[in-house]
Amino acid sequence: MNNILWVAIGLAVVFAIMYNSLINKKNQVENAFGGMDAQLKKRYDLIPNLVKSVKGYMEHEAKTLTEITTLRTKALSGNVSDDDKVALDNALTSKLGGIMVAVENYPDLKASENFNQLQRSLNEVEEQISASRRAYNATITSYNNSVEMFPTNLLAGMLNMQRKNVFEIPETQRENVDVGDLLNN
Amino acid sequence: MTEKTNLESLYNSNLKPKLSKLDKERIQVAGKVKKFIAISIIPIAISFYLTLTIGNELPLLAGIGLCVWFYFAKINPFWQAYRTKFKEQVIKEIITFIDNRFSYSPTKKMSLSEFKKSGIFLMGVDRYRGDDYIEGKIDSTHVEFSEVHAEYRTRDSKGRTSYHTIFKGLLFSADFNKHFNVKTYVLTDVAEKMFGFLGTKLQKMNKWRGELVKLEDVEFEKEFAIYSGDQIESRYILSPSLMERILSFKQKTKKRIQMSFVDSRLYVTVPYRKNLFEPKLFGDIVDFKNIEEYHNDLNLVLDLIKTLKLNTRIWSKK
Repeated sequence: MNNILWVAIGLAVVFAIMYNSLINKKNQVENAFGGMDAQLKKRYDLIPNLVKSVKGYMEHEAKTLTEITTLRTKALSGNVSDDDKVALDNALTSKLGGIMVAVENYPDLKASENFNQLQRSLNEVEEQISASRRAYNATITSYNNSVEMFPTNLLAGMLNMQRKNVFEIPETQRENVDVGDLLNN
Repeated sequence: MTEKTNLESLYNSNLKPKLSKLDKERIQVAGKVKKFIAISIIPIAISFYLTLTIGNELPLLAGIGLCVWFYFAKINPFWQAYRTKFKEQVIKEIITFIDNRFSYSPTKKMSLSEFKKSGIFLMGVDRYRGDDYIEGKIDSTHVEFSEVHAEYRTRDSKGRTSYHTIFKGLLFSADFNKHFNVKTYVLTDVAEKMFGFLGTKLQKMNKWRGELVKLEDVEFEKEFAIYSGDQIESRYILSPSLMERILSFKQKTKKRIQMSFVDSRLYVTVPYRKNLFEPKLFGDIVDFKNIEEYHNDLNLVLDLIKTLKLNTRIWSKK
C-alpha cells in the first residue's frame, strides 16, 4: 500500500515539473514576442522623420514612401493581430530596404549629415529587430521541442498545446512586396 | 610585394644587423650564466656536506640562498639588459612595421582592473604579472593588449603556499562598434573541466553571468557557451556574420579563446603556454624564422580589428 503512495507522489512531482516547464516555455514565447514588438515600435518612431528627410530628394521613390507611411499607420492603429503584425513587419523591412538601396542614386542625400544620422539609427533599429526575431525563434524552438518530444508531448497533448511556427527572417528583399492585401484589410 | 617579402626586406635592411650585434651580447650573457651554474656547484656542495655533518638544513638553505642572491645581484641584470635591448630594438620594429599607429611598452601590462572587468575569469587573483603592452587607435577603434599571468594561491595542510595559473596568455581589449547595455560572455566550457571540484562552484558563478543563450550557428554553439543579461541584446551583438568571423579567428589561432562584451568594449583572451616576444638565451636569435614567429604571433591579435570588422561603424556608435 505504501509503495503505491510513493509512486503516486513521484508521478505527481514529475507531472508538476513537466507542467511548469511547458507553461514557462509558453510564457517565454509571449515574452519574446513582446520584446520584438518593442523593437518594432522603435522603427515606427523613426519612419516619419525618414520620410520627411528623403521626400524632397527622392522623386522617383514617392510611391514607396507613401506605402511606408501607410503601413506604419496601419501597424500603429491598434487591433492588429499577431499574424498581421508579422506580415506588416516583413513588408516594411522590404520597403525600407528598397529605399536604402535607392539612396545610392542620390549623392546629395548620401552626403547629408542629417540623413547619415538617420541611416545609422535605422541600421541599428533593423539589427535590433533582427536580434529580437532571432530571440523569438529561439523561444519557439524550445517550446516546440517540449510540445513534440517525449514525455512532455503527452502532457502538451492533454493541454491542447500546439506547435508554433518559427518566424521566417527575411533577407533585405529587393523585390516589391505586394502590399495591396495588407492595406485593404 | 607580399607581406612576407616586406618583412624579409625589413629583416635584411634593419633587423639582421641589430640581431647580429645582440647575438654577441647574448653569447656573453649565456656564458656568464653557464659559468655561474658551473661555479655555484662548489658552494652548494659545501653547504650540502655541512648539512649532512651537522644534521641541520640551515647550511644548505644558506648555500642556496647565497647562490640565488648572487644570481639576482650579479647575473640577472645582464640578462635583463639584453632582454630590454632586444625588445626595444627588434620587437618594437616589428610592431611598427605591422602598423605604426601602435605604441609598445615592454614592461607595462593590462591592468588588473581591466582583467577583472572582462569578467572572463571569476576566480580571485592572488598574483598578477604581465608585460609587452601594446596600444593604439586604428581608424575608429581603440585597442590595447598585453601578456598577462594571473594566479591564485593555495595553502596545503603543512602551511606551504603554492600558486596555480588562472590564466596565462594575451588579454586584448578593443572598442566595439555597437552600443550596448548588458554584459555578454562567449566562453569555452573547458575551464570548468580543468578546474574539477571548482567546476560546480564556477557553474554557480556562471548564473551570475546571466542566462544561457542558445544561438543558431551550430558550429559556434559547439565551440562556445554564451551567457548574457539579455537575450535580445546578446543577439544584437552576436550577429550571424560576427559569429562566423569569431569562428574563423578561433580556427586561425587554434587556441581556446574566450570573449566578453562589457561596457561597449570587446575583451578577448588567448591562452599561451609559452612566454611571447622573449629573446632566446641559448640558441641562435639571428635566423629569419624567429622574426617570422614574432610577426605571426603579433599579427594574429593585431589583425583582430580587421578580422572582426570592428571599423565598420554603420550604427549609432561612431
